[in-house]
Amino acid sequence: MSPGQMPNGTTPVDATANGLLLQISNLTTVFDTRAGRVVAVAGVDLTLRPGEILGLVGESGSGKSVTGFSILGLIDPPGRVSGGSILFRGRELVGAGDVTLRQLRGRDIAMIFQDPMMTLNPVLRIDTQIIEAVRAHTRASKSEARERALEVLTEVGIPAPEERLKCYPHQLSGGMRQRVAIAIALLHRPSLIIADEPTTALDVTIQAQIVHLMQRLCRESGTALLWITHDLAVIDGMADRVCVMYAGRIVEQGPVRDVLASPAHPYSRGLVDSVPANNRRGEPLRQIRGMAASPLRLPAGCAFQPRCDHATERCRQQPEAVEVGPDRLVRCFHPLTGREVADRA
Amino acid sequence: MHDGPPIVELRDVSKRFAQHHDFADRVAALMTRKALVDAAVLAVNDVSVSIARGEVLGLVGESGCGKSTLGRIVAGIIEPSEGEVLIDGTRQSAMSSEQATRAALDVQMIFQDPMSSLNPRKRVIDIIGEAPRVHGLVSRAELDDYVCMQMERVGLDPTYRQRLPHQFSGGQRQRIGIARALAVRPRFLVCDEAIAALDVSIQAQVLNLFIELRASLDLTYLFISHDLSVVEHVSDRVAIMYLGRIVEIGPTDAFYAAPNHPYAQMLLAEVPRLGGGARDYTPVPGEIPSPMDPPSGCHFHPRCPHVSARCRSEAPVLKPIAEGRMAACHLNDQR
Amino acid sequence: MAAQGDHGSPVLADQEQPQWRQQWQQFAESRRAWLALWVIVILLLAALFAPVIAPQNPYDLTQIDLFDGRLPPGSVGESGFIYVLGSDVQGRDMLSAMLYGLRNSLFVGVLSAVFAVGIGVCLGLIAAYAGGWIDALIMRIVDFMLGFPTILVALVLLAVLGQGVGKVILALVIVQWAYFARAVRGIALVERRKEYVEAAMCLNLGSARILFHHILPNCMPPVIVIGTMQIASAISLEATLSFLGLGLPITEPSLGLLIANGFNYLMAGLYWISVFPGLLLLVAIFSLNVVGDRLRDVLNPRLQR
Repeated sequence: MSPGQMPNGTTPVDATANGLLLQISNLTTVFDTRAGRVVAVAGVDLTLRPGEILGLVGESGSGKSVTGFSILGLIDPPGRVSGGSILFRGRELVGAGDVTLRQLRGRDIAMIFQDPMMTLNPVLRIDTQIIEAVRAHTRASKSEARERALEVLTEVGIPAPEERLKCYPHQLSGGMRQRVAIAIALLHRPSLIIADEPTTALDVTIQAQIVHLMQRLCRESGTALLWITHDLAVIDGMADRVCVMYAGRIVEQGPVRDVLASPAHPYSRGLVDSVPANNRRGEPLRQIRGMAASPLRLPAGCAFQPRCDHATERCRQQPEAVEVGPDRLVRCFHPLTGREVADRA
Repeated sequence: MHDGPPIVELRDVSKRFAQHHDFADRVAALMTRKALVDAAVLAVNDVSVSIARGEVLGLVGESGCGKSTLGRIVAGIIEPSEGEVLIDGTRQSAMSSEQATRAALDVQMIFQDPMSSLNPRKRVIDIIGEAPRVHGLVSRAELDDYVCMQMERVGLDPTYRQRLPHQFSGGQRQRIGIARALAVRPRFLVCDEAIAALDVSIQAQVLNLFIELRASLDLTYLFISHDLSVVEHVSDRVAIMYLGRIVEIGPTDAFYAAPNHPYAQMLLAEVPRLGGGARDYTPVPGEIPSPMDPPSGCHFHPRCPHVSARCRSEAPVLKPIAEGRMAACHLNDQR
Repeated sequence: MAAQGDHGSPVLADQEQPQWRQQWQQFAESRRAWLALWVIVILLLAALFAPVIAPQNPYDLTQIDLFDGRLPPGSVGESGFIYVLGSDVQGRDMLSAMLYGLRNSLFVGVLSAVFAVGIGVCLGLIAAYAGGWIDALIMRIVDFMLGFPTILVALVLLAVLGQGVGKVILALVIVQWAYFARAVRGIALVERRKEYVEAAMCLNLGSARILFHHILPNCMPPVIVIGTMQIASAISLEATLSFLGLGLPITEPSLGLLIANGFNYLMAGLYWISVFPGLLLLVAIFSLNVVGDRLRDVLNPRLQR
């Protein structure tokens, strides 16, 4: 069931001329709330190649999840995508009709949430749900769909899948539920999976299993993965590239190894420096001062400037993204260069 | 560290959460001829541990391991089903009521959720000032100044003392919770996942506050967390819990250099670490068993790579393995 | 999908306005609720000042002229008195009778709801906080009370107690407290599990203080909502009892009794004796329910955007 076999699909060709699976430019998503307009995503540019794993890192309110939801057209009022373009295999998703998006969702682009119960229906058995999901996008008989269900459950490492199929979601543990959600996401061999904090609610050992599983499945099937998280350490182990978001903008992006080893933006540097492992034991951690800017009252210019030690008068203007190395972009007037992250004490 | 009795000592403490059957359940069971099964969870299973004055004990474990329950027993919020909690070497039953109140205030708790741990309908001044006033630690006239002092100490602007919790950010709310605990002049803080719900850049700030306060107020901590790297940073000693039991306890340096218990080894291997780079390991398979129905013998045996027949039948006890280190694993007997 | 994704919203962290003020603005956004609130205020004022604004004291026999009986709305009586809404069989001015009736209906409804809420809140809180056998005992009594049809219990009680304003209120409280006890217990159980209660226990604040200073204030929003609805249902229950002849005494008639009095003449074409009090009752209950509904929307954080 590769995309090429889809009866009524989009172009079977995976990539457009520039070889990109997903190309987001100047994406802007706003929420008109009672308290005023919140610009949750303020001009995000990012690209994803087929089979690539991209980590989208940010704190709460940075707009990382909203970016993910915007791609799938899942922004509900009072929010809306107010500008920019999202090209998926060369096809524009901003302003695309509900029907188009619904066809794409689940088949070409799948989503995994922090809470697997966003995907699973609590009152239906697992087999009912998977069979339904199979038949939503393909013409398969019930028994074929059931076969497929067994296949994906085995693939995501669920022991005794025959028995699990007859379970209700509440009879499974959190880790198992997330595996089922991943299995459903994988059903139609999507070319892109958007995973929104999929391991945040799980325990350390279960998180390791899920991360390992996702990484292996994406590598094997050539699926691109957009992994949204607040946890730099998870990204380090699995992603190819990383984008760091702050206050609705991507402040730094590049190959994961380079960015984490020598962050160029003061914010990403602050994040990396504050990790306990990068500090001497028992002594105060190097911390970023202040708190995240309120999306309702963003400071003029660079949103990080009030918390930044390197800020100057110039930072009152919005910095453009500049290239600081191979495939590395930083949105800062005073990018940090050269210095490696302080060695672990 | 100081001499004298440990500030807190747990002796053979267990906590069982049982589901009680009322009259209606019994009638229903009679009519359906089903036997009533007493569903009970042994959240904490025969734990003995003592915490010396001035030290930080890190308590690590995954969900359902009983670490939060243990923390609440130490903080006096939950009564243990068996065993006893000694404060300064004294049993609660041997204390006068004044002593008992003082002992209760001596041990305070910092909670995980910065939102639900503050009463949403109280102003900051009342959240922080209520307990000191009720217990007569400050007079009504001094209360305002006292609250301002507490707020300044945790890095909050005292001019915000008339505000309600929802007007603060997560990190600030956690600081309010810390100020509330410190306002009754405790000597011991139980921090239950106290930074887990905060944003990454705020976690470091709050962790730093804990480190500062420890030095300036001579505090002792029980620092409960699932995050091994945070625990490594703040703790003098580390205890690892699995399904209600402490499986390993020892000084931080020695533990992180060479964890003894297979579960501790597995935890350490699987914690994502910055700078670890791409790892090509295979995670240990298996789920955390339900605490309702823990495996026989050593609770870890179904996931353990070194399992033997003895592990399935006999629960290992904590035994000294080195200076100040104990572990509960049968493998140590063979060495 | 909230604007801020995961852990709580920094948007809220910035609001300067007090919460009640925002909630009030939100309440007033619904024009229907706004209108209903005004209707309630007007009805309350009318009931309160009935003796002042009523054109006639309908129970002062010296003011009633038997010859003015059965006059249709708008008629002018023998003495030149204008019967705006007509008169009843005894020659009472319907408008005045309705104002006095409203006064009695609201008095009984509000007072019985207040007592029922008080008892229900106390027992519900105690049940939730104490747990164990105390909880079991209180809740079994509640189950027992809720097991019988309300109207039947009220009828039996009044048959035993006899008539009188106090007795009607007593009967209404007895049949209604159990709803509150159950609702409050449920709400309090949720609050009790929150960490701020554990924090208060850790600070050794004492059960009574935790119960009434910490848990109770957080249970109030839903209690206010249910309370509003309960006033409406108490008024209609009282009207039903009066209609059946077991409500307020004939000397202090409520809207229900007025409806009952006119009922016999409905077929004879004297529609105004029954229909006008009926409409007033309908408006009062409808308005209370609309306000209660809106309060629920505003006070329930889960429904908030």
